[in-house]
Amino acid sequence: MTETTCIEIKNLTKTFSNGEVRAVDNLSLRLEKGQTVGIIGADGAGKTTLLRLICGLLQPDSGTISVCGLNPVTQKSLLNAKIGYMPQKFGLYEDLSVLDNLNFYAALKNVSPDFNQMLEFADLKRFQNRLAGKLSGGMKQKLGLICALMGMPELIVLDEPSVGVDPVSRRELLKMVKTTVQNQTTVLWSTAYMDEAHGFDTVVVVDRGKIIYQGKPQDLAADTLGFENKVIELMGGYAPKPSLVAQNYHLNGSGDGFAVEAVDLVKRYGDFYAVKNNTFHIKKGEIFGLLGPNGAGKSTSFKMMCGLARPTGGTARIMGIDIVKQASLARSHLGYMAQKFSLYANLSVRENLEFFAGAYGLKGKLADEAVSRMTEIFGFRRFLNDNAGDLPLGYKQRLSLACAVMHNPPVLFLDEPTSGVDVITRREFWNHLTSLAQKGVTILITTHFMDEAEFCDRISLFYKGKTIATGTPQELKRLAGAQSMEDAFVNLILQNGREIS
Amino acid sequence: MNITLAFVKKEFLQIIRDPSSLIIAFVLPTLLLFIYAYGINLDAVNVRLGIKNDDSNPEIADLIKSFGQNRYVTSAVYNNQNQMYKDIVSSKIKGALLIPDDFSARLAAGKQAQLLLIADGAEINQVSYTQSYVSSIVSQWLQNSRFKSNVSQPAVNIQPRYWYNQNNNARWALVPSSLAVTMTLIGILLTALVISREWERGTMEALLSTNIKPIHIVLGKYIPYFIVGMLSLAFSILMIITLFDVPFRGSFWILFLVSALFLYASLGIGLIISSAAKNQFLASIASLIIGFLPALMMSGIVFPVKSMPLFFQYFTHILPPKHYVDFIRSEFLSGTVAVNVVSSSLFLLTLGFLFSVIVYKKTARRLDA
Repeated sequence: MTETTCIEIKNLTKTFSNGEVRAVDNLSLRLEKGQTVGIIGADGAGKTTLLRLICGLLQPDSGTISVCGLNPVTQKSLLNAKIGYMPQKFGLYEDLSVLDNLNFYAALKNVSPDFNQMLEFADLKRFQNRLAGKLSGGMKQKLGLICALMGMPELIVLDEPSVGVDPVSRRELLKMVKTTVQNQTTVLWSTAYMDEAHGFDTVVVVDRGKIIYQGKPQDLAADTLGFENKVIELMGGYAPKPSLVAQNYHLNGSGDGFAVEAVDLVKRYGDFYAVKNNTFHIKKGEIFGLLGPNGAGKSTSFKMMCGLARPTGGTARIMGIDIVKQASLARSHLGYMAQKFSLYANLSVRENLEFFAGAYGLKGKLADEAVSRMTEIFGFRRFLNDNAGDLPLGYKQRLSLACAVMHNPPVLFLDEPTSGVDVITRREFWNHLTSLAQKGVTILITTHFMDEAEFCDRISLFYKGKTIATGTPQELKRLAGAQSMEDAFVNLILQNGREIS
Repeated sequence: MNITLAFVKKEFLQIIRDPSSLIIAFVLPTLLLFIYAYGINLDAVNVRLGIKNDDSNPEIADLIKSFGQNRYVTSAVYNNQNQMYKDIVSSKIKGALLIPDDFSARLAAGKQAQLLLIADGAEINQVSYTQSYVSSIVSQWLQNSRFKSNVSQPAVNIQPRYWYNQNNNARWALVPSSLAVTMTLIGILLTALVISREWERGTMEALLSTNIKPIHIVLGKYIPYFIVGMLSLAFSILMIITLFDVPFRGSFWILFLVSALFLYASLGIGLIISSAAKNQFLASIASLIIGFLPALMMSGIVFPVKSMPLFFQYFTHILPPKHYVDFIRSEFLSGTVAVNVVSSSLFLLTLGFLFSVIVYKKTARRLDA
């Protein structure tokens, strides 16, 4: 270990469930000081465990770790003073105000409570007295980041800080880190966004508890898409297969006309308009992307359109059926995947599938068939008896999709189905979706991945409760005068007066 | 020290923001005190009695009238015996008194006269009350009736004196000792959720990555809830004395000192539950079962400890409420008794200390150990 080394790990192993799960498996890693390091890998590859081991939050089974010249096992409290760590759930007290959270962490870290500059920079100053729980997703992340950056730590460890964050906020997060860190500061940043990782000094690809690549991202490929393909190759490759979901889909009632229509949808809470006016028409077999920053009103629109929230004004029609007047009939044409994992965490995979089969009115043999079909298609066999809550994130999302498509609905509503999901799983997901659409299934989807937006037939850009642009990806890029979808998104939002709410 | 202070401050902010802690601290004791004072009644039970008189002697009419004048008995006179039996079955009346036609004649002749009392044996408490009401009403009537001279006086007359509680008022005994249940519940409920909450919301992970040490977490959790608990205690005591007119004959200093020790022990139990259970639901169920039930059933408030099987008598010693009940009864009604104070305090202090050592040992240093 030399002066310039920040982290040195040798033969590190960490197992869970009495050695059954090898989260980190004989892993060795050396990282120099002053670098921004992207940690990428499939879900359940061991990224979070690795980061926690580095911070001394977990004890290794075997192997040695040295971080900033200290041993996290024996010198945890010395080390903690040098680290700024932001866990996946950000570690904020949702019932305390922004300022209370900052004061608390400043006291814990023995830092003078002067955050004006950071607050200004993150554009949180206006919200300093708001409860952390009432902030939008992007703002929570920024607040968590300020807490982690406090006191100029030598090492900053960020566990997926940009999950579920819109492109504008993601750029701001990155800028906050870049302006705070000094020459010798090392940043570990785990992410599912390949464009993000491509911009870092170094990437470390973790797979099944081992490191399968470490080096400059530009050495793998010069552009983001090439980089993504290389990473997928490293992780075992992904060859698109014909989608079994689509092949086994029994679709009735295809044809012409609109599958989903939103007509002047309005949702008001008190004097706050979550959705001011949302109107769109989606043709049968179309993939329609609903894009927009956190807190723009996408999820609220979704909930109104599935009849989960009552519109203050306007209505929506699913396959021509009015959702306000005939909610349950309209819903029977609908498969819905919520943003939060909303299956039964303490029921097994099989029990969840059986329950949803029953809930959709499938009985006896039909239900059994549906369950075994889903098991085959999504590869649940080895997880069938595991609790759904213990599944790796990618499999949780697969299970949610399985439950949404089980009754072959002609319309699918998917709310951020790929948030936090690794690249391979995302590709597989989109393979299913595009194949389903070809078969005539209508899909309404929200996402923060701009590469996914490119797969949509049409996009509606939604901002502050209003549609600010609708069109094909090409049309939107032309409208914004941008090369990439991400630039188009950022430009259009900025043109419409970016203001975090 | 700074870190502890910051933690305490944070905890207080959370208490203020989240009304549930304040509801536990102030609404819950009010509710429980009212239940103890008015809901649970070990004294008199009002009994509705049916009477069927077959004796035409006018003196007996006086007897029937005196049933109507008693504050614990309401009476209904029946002419039809079958109807009266039906009303027992349908619970319209709780007892039936039959006066045979030779009742006054036998009394006049100096013979033993008989009355038949039928009571609803499904409610055993009521049976004994009914019986004692009837016999006291009858003997009072007898003292004033013209058959008085025909009845021999009992050989022994017992004069009861109930020390500390002349009127044998159960409320006086129940309400102060209910503090033991209330304070256990408050102590445990306040703290049972506060560590599991940090796990559930993911803040524990962030905390453990900072300089914080277990002692900061332990102190940071004890101090604020101790203060809230003491305020709640003061509030309850004030209510007991002003609202329920229970006399307080002891010393407020000693009352608060021993109560503080009791609260310290209860908070310890809550914190042990909280650090063992990593989700709030489990923690709240555990605190009801571990905290509330033993406090109610085994502390001696309702069921005397001395009548329990020997094993359970010893077992009650590890329950803080048992020692507190012993203390609080004598402190309120008989005044400070040095022996009681010392023994209760020693037990509570030992238990409280033991619990806080366990809490300290159980406080997480890492996510996996």
